[in-house]
Amino acid sequence: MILFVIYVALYLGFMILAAFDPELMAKPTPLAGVNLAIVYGVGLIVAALVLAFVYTLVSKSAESTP
Amino acid sequence: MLYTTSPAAIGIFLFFVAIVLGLSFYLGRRARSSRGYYAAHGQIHWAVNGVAFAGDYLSAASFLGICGMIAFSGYDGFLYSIGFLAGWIVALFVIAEPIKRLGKFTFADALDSAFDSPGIKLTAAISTLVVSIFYLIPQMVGAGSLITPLLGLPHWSGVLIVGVTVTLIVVTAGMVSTTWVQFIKGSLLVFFCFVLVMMILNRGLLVAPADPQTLDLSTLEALAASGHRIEPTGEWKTKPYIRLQFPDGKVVTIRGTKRSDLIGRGHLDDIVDFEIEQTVSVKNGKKLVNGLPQSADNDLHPVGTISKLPDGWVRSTGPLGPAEFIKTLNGSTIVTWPSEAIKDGDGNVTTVYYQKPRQGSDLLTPGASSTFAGVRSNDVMKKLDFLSLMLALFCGTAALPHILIRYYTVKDQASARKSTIVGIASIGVFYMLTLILGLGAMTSGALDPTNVNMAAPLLAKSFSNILFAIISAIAFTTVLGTVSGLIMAGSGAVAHDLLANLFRVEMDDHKQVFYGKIAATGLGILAMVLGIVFKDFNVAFLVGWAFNIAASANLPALVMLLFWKRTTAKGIAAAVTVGLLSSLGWILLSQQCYKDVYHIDPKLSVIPFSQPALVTIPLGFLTLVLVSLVTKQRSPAKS
Repeated sequence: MILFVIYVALYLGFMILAAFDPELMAKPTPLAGVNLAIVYGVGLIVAALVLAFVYTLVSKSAESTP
Repeated sequence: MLYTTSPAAIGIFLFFVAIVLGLSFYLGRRARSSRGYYAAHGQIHWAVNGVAFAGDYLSAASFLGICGMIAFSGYDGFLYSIGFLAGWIVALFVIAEPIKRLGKFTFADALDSAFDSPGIKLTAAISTLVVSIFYLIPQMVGAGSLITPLLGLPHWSGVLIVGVTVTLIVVTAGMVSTTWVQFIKGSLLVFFCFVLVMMILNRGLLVAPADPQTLDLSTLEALAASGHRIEPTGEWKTKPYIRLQFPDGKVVTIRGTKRSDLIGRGHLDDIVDFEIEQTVSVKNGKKLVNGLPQSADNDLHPVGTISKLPDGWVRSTGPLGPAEFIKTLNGSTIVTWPSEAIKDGDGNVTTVYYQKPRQGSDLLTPGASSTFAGVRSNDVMKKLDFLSLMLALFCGTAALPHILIRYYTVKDQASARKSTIVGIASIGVFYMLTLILGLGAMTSGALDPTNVNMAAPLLAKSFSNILFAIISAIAFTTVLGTVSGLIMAGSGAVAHDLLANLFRVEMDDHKQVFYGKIAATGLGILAMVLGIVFKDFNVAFLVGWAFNIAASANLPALVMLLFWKRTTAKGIAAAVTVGLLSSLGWILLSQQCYKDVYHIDPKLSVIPFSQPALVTIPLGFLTLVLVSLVTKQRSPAKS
C-alpha cells in the first residue's frame, strides 16, 4: 500500500508540474541534456516497473512467513 | 494520400490471420464447458497471461494513435503513454489479488460475490456492456482506417474483415484463443518495434533536401504571372493565403508568414515570406488535391522533416544513442504540417495543410498539441481538463472489463500478481519504444499529412517495404486482439450475468456457452455497424471516453467493495449507476461533443471542461458511501 502512495505522489507531482509550471519542464537536466519533461515521464515508467518488482519481493516474503 | 497496394502486405496479413484462426479452431475443440470458454480452464501460465495483458492493452490507440500523436504534435502523445501505464499500478497494487479471490468469470461476479443482488448484477452487466461498446468503436474505426490505405479497400471492408474474423474466433473458442491471440500480438509488437527503433537510431537525424516548397518574392511573381489569382471569398478573406490557378486547373496555395492579416485583401508586395502548401477539397463527390483530381501523379506529398539541426551538424548526424537522439531533436527546427478547414463563399470546404516550423524544444514539452495547448495558457478550466484526463487514464485501466476478465485465466493469486508484472514490464518497454518511434516518424519525411494513425507504419515503409508489410499486419492483429477481448467481456455480460444469473433463464453449462456465442455474434455485428457509422471520429477521443466511463462507474464500486466493510449491495448498485450516468451525461453535454458530434455552438454547453473524471469519480465514491450508510447490510449469500 505504501508503494502505491509513493507512486501516486510521483504521478501527482508530474501532473501538477506540467499543468502549472510548463517552463520548468523544458529545462535541460544533467541527464545527457534531455529536458525534464521527458526524464520525468520516462522516470514514471521506470518507477512503475521498479515498484512492481519490489512489490513481488515483499509479497513473496509475506507469503512464505505463515 | 493514395497508397499502392502491396502484395507482400496482403500476403503476410493473410498468413497471420490463417494462423490465428487455425489456433482458434484447434483450441476450440477443447473449450466445451463454460469454465473453459470464459476462463480458459484457469490454466494459462502467468508469463503467457502477462504478455497477453500487454497484447490486450496495446490496442490501436496505443500503437497507432500514440505514435501518430507524438509524430504530429510531440510530447503530448507521451502523456497518454504515461497515464495508461500508470493505471496499471492501480491495477496491480489495488485490484489484482483481491479480484482473483472473488469471482468466477466476469466483473459482475466479482462485485456481486458477497451479496447475490439483482441490482448489482444488472448495473454491473450494463456497465460492462457500455464500456466495452465505447472501447469497441475506436478499435473498429481504427481497423477501417488501417485497411483503406494499406490494402486499397474502402473503410467498411476493413471493419467487416475485423468483425467477421474476431467473431469467428470468439464463437469457436472463447477465452483460450483470445489469450493466445493477445500473446502472439504482444510479443510481435514489442519485438518489431524494437527493430524499428534500432533502425531509427542508426539512421540518426537528417536535414531535408533544400525545400522547393518555399519561395522568394521574385520566384513568386514569376509564378503568379503564368496563373491567375483566385479571388478570396467566404472565410478565405480573413486567412493569410493567396491562391493561384493555372490553365490546367492546378491550384497553388501560398501562405504568407508575415503581415498575414493583409494578404486576403492585399497586394503581392505585402508578402515578405511564404511557402507553398497542399490542399484537399471535395467537389461533386470527387476528391481534389491542389485543384486537380487525386491520382497517382497528383497527390499530397509526404511530410515530416527537419529544416535545421543544432550547431555542429550540417546535413546529418549519423547514428545516435537514444538520449542523444532526443537532445539533438530538442535543438532542431522541425517542419510540422497542421491543417485548417476553410469555407469559401459558395460553401465549398477546402482543407489546407500548411507548413509550420517549430523548435524541437517547443515540441518536446507538454502542451505542444492543440488538445493540450491549454496547459501552457493561464486558463484554469483548461488545466483542470488536462488533470481530469490524466486522472481518468490513471483510474480507468483497472476498471476496464476486458482487462479484468483476464485475471481469471490464471491458476491462483500469486500467478495473477506475477502476470500483471510481466504485463507492466512489456507495456512499459513498449511505451518507451513508441516515444522514439513517434519522434522518428516526425522526422522521417514519410508522414501522410491527412492521416495521423498511419505514422508508425509509414515510418516502417521509409526503411523497408517488408518491414512495412509486417508492421501493418501486426497493427491489424492489434485490433483483432483487442476486439476479441472486448467481445468476450460483452458476451460474458449478456450470457452469464444477465441471462443466467439475473433473469435466471434455465440453462446448463453447455447452454450458457451457446448463449455466450450468440451474444458474441450479436455484439460483433453491432460493433461492425458502429465502426462504420463513427468512421470519421478521432480514435483517441473515443478511447478517452471509455476510460472516463470505466473509471467513474466501475472503480469506486470495486475499490470500496474490496476495502470497506460497510459497503452494501444497494450502495454498489447506486455507485455504478451514478458513475455511469454522470460520466455519460457529462461527456454528451460537453463542449467537445457539441462541436464534433452535434455541430452546435460549443459555447451553449454548461459543462466547464470536457473530461468528467475529476468530478464523476469522486461522485461515484460519494454515492456509494452515502447509500451504503443509509441501507442495511444484507446477509451475505452462501457461496
